[in-house]
Amino acid sequence: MTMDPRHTPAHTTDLLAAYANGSLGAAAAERVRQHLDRCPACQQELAAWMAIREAAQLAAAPA
Amino acid sequence: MQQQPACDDRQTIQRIATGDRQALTELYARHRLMLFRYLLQLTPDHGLAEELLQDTFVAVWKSARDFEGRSSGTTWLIGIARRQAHNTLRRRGLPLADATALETMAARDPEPEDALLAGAAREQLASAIARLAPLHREVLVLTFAQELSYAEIAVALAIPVGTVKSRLNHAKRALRAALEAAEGVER
Repeated sequence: MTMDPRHTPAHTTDLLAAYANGSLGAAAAERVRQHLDRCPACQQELAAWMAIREAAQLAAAPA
Repeated sequence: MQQQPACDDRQTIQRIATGDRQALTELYARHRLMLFRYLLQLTPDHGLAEELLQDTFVAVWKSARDFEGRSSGTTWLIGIARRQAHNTLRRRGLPLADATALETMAARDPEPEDALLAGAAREQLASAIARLAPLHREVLVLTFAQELSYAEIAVALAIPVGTVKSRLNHAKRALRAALEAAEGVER
């Protein structure tokens, strides 16, 4: 059995934006956390979403 | 974003449905800033956004009886604001994003290029978000500035949850492309 996390069925990329904005339920958030522990690609993608989150909040602030 | 228990909004909207003007004033005070920020993502014109905000609350007054409480008050209000904006923009001949073309773009995978987004300066990214197509800007703002869940966004935009997810990923790709283009210009 491969241990490459990018090939496991637990891949959770579709949930990363929701994880970044804190809107996931507890069970789904825990699943994402466990996957992130062993998936560098998803860690990188989460970092991208966190950067987008901060920028979107800045972009939406009234001028 | 100001957090209010969902039941407060539901009760306020029910009072509006009975003709309670004070309830309309309360709902306006609670949500006007959030809705104004949202409308500014659909039009850069502050005056038009203000006009659309007023239209939204006129529509709330007229349609409060139709609120069935199946979605949160916030989601219901965003749906009304969005319809007001789109109807007015269409009537005035202002262009709307071509949703079909945007939705059929290729699907994504987690990619090393995410490092580019993760490492970008916040102001640079915010500026790129401001230049995105309205469809992409809107989904990013609803997710991260309004902090709605995928399900709430799906209701507000009247699209499936799967489309919310794919639209977010398309928005991320568009941002990455914008950053790469900006870097190319600087070289």
